[in-house]
Amino acid sequence: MRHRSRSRVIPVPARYVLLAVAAVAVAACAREPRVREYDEVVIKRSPVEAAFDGSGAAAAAPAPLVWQTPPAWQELPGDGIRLAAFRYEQGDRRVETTVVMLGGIAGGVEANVVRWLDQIGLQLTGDELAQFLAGGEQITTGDGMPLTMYDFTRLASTGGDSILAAVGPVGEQTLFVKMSGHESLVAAARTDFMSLVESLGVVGGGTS
Amino acid sequence: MLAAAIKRYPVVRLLIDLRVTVVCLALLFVLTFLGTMHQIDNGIYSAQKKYFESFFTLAAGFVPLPGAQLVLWVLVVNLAAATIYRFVYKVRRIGILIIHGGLFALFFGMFFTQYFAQESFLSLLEGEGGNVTTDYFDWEVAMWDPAGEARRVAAVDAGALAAGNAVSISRYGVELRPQRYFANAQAFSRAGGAPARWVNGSGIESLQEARVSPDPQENFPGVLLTVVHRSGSAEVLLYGADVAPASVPVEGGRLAVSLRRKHYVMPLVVRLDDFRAEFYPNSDTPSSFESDVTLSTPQFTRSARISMNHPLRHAGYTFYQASYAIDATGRETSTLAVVHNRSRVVPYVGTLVVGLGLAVHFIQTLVLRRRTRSASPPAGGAA
Repeated sequence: MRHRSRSRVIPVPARYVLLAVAAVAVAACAREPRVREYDEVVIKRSPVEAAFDGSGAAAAAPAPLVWQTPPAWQELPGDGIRLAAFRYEQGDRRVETTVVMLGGIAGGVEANVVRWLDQIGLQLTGDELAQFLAGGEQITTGDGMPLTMYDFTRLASTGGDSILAAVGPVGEQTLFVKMSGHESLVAAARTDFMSLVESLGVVGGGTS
Repeated sequence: MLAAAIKRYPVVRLLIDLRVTVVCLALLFVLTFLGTMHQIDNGIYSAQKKYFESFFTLAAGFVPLPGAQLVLWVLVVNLAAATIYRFVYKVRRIGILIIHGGLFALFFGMFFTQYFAQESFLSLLEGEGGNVTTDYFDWEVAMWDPAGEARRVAAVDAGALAAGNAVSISRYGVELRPQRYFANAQAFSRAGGAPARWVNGSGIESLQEARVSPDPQENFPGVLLTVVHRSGSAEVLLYGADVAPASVPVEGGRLAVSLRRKHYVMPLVVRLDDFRAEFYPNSDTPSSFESDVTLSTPQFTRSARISMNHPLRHAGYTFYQASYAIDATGRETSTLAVVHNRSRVVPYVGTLVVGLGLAVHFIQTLVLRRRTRSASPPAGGAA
């Protein structure tokens, strides 16, 4: 009897072995990330989501925005969230304009402006940057979308590239219209840029 | 015998000690107070994580305290141990036993909710519908074949990629190898005409680390990863705020790959038929808003209305009218909070059982006292 009752007790070293085995098993389970598979049903997506549904084919999907391309500009195919792209050339110089939509605040206006300044080789002090941001021109598209335009050609000339950008919210997303290229051509194309921005409208817009 | 043997151990004696119960209840009081104060400046999510879902916490940044999670586990063990080893099982104590049963039901409901309940949301434009809800905090990397008729998604939690783990997706024959994960990122687009370094749906050129907000809803993660398939690989940049999936070339076609808030599948499709908001006169403050929805499965279709304080309950899911949005073009979006909790009724049952136990105990005590009084000889009397 005594011997039998002893045999039921797990010896101390064996307990450590069991614990170690359990720990290894748990760790092994934790190392293997679980892949979930499911079928997603989407009924009548919004124009925005429909336009972004799926990759390179997205270029063929209906864009959520409409616009009028300025006469002298060449329209290029869109690419995913880059809803539209345009090229304008004069001699060997050219500017490119893109219409991009990102979810949320997309990093914020200030961070993007700082990035664009870096792209054209300019650095502003904190006060200068605040002044530049505050000096953004308020414009409204024909569809009633409020945008703020930032004219980088007003800043010190670098003799190289410059940027003209219009930024504003569309629903829960942020719309970026950005023209970049040689500063003289950016300045020359300002009127066309404005007409493009003012022509922007949302597909299916209007009160439902 | 067993009870007597186990009681010999100091740890067991401590576990069944009533003083532990009192200390635990006092700690819960303190934690509730601290959590409520913490919530004022840091939000409810932070308070939940810091004081209620944690095992240990630092109050005011330097006072170590057990978290409510630990306190509640100790309380459960204390209650269970006391029920097993200290409780006197007699008919006249049946009320107390029922109360303990009710308390166990409450604890069970609480832990089941903590570990298994899903809280998510569903945002729909009028006319839209879907069978997936979206998590408030967690993210996933999802992929599907955009050429397929149905969107057959394979998804892996972003946390696995954040930990640097490679993940094989057998459905599409690819492996995801994370290079870098950003808990919160800022995205920057390519300069016009610049060659693309990363496969990305929106021309994003780079990500930069951003300060991680204590409110996780304000964070947009990003990930740089290599998608390896049988005949090659692609360098992919995914950003949480980017609604366009990356179009990744793989053997035999393309895959749409997206970093998005984690999706949960429901066994039904919810369609928003109509949304209405009414406002107080001359103000933008809504007096009420409500959604007419249709729930459908292959077996049935059901129409229902969801409004403030009038949720819709169906098959373990509860849909609350949470918020709405009207965009610049007048389109209305209704957001429903969706809670999936199979133990939803357990706390109600537990409360009823505790109430029943209290009533039984009260009646038993009353009857017993009356019997005792009537059985005992009257005080004084004839000498």
